[in-house]
Amino acid sequence: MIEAVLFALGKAFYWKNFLYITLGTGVGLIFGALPGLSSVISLSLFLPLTYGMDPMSAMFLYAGLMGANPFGGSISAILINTPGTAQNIATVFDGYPMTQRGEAGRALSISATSSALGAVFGIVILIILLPLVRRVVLAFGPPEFFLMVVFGLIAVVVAARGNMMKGLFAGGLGILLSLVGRSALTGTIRFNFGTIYLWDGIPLIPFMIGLLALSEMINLGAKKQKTIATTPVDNVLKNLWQGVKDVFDHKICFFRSAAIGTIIGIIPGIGGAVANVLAYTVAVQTSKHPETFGKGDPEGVIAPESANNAKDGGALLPTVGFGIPGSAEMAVLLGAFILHGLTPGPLLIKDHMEIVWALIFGLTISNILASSFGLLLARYLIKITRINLSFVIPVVTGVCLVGAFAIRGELWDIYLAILFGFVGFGLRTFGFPIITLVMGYVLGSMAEVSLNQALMISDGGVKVFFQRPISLFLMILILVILFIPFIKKVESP
Amino acid sequence: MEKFLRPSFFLIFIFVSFVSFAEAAPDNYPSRDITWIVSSAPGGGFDTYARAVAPYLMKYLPRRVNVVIKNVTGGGGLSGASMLYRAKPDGYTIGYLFYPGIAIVAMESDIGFDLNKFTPIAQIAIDEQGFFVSAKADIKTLSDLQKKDPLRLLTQPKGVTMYSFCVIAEKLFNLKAKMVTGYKGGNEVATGIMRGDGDAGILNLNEFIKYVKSGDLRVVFTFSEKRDPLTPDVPCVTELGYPEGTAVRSWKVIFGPPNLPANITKTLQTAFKKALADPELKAWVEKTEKPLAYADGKEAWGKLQKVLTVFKKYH
Repeated sequence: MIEAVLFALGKAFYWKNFLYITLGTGVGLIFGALPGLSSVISLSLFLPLTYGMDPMSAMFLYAGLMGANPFGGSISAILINTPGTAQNIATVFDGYPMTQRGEAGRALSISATSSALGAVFGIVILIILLPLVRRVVLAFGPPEFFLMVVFGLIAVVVAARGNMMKGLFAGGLGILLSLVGRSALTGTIRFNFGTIYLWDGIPLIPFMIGLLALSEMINLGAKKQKTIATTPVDNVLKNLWQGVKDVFDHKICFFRSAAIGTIIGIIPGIGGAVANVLAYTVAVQTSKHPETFGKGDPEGVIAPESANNAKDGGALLPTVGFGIPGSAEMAVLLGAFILHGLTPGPLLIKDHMEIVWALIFGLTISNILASSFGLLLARYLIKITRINLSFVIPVVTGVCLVGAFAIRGELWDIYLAILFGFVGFGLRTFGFPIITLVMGYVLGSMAEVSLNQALMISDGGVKVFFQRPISLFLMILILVILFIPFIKKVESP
Repeated sequence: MEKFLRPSFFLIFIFVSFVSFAEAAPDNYPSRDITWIVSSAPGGGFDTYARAVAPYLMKYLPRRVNVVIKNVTGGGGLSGASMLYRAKPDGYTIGYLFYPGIAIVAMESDIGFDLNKFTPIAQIAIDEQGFFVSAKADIKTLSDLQKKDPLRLLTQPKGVTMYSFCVIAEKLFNLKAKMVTGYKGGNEVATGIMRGDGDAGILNLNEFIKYVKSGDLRVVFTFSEKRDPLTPDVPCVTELGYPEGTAVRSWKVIFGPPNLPANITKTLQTAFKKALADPELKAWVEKTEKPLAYADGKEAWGKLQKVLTVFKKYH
């Protein structure tokens, strides 16, 4: 074991491999920041280029591409309310308000710090759990998924506080939209208006680009604002340092969100999109002052950004331990393994542990590099928020529309983005929170599928939720959260 | 100067038209990059095979051009199929169609085009399926399966190939099956079996054999004509007396758009045949245990038609 570690470590610092990691990091950051381009796309683009490379060098390149991506995506999420990737959706909720207050630097450094630390957290857990991989991966089944999703959906109510009717309406609308497409349960195609386009549901990225980014561009245009930042940016360096401190001041939020991210990563088939939204919703729920979320609460950036990086470490667990991809990126990685003549599966750890270590070191180094680049470049990136909006709006709109098209080359993705741009603008204007809509959308269809699966497995008995240890734990947690407000009321006179 | 302008333009015009006509002439095929449409996301089985074979296809084409993989997801393979259908039959667009998957979709709904019109080029692999159970389960033979009541089969939802495989198996072998759907793919089904969500599933043999080697899963029988070299101790359906069970297989066949000229088809077929015989590619096959098997388009199409009659019977 030690030989494999030292071997991989040595290789990581061999100049050629280090160059690959750096190249991957740079590309990963750019692909992350540009809406519509994702790590899955970058991995598939680089696949053929790695044919001739030796497997370990290829792994370093892939690790670079994957590691830098979540942080890259947070840059556009924070600066222009556009999630660069599906893993940064929740970052816009508090990251962008911070930018509007002139605290973009703080938000960026919160993201950089939580991303790097979150990645390390995920990797440490990966290393600890590797010998137990089988038991861990198999411990989470449909009953556990369902309860986790319920936990997240309860947060919709908490997030809607002060605006209950509209909040719940938006949440419900989100859930309804998540049901469009072929049901994983029955195979019937729902709400697709007879088209192939909506067969697999509403495509996530164009939907988010429209709902979050385009609606904000329309909003900014309508408000006749001069720049994105409504208050001038104060001392940039102080801002940056404050952001780093923020993560350490909110340690509990960080650890909890990184844990959620890691667990979601471990569960095969669920990835960054759910991780960041779920971490955010849990942060809202467990906060002592949930009303500050959505207005620029640092925890609102810490949560999603730690979760989405931690998930990479978690996702490696089923991928290398079992050969089952823990996320969409891992699925491409598995394809890469096969192309390089490695057989993924339970025997990979035994026969090729150095490949696993190459990925581990690659991810760690790439995250540290990406976050450092980010901090160094922050003061220049922030300038975007001070450029006159008559330049920013058209450029961002253009980039978003191109991004929406670039994913699949599908013209209708652009139309969808525009449609939801207006829908989002309308919702905002009439006081409907977008946050709850997004929560409902991301969690909705999963709730339906996992509940039904859980019931099918146990032949319709609800007791399945109480018979399994993790389910029981989650069930108790949910009941506690639901009844805390009542207990408080009873206690105080 | 002007005196030469008009005749020069005229000559350039003639030259350019000849060149463009020349480009269209099949004798120069291929003279630019060929697009290979893969109707699934990067990293899956179809995609990996395509990326493995593409470089060797490039090697054996009469001219050096790139073969570019284009992933077109959506509609359970329909988006890719529809893109292939509408492509120009000039040999620069080829693609996989999922069989029997796409035929199942066509049986259930109107897909807007006729599957029979595609030009079959070559088959590059047949994926044998196995009936998998957990290694911890007390199920070792077909009769054990038939006795289990209910037999929980984990599967993808109705309309997807795996579900139809399960329906055929249920009716053919008289299983007291209960379908548990909601699983997104083979990986989720395998994990579900290992986790104990259900009893069994029908999975790609070469993809999931690694779990047999690690002691997590067991194959009760395979849906192949003969015993599969990956599982020499496991009986196949013909041995067990159910030859119709061989319809449960997944086919990787390359098609061209309708009305592809015969000589372009022949060029591609020869290239595929040579690619699959290439020693380097064969070494990859050995190492990764991903079987490749060449058959020309017509032969593959004939076999597919027979398979589809079985599907229609049990659907």
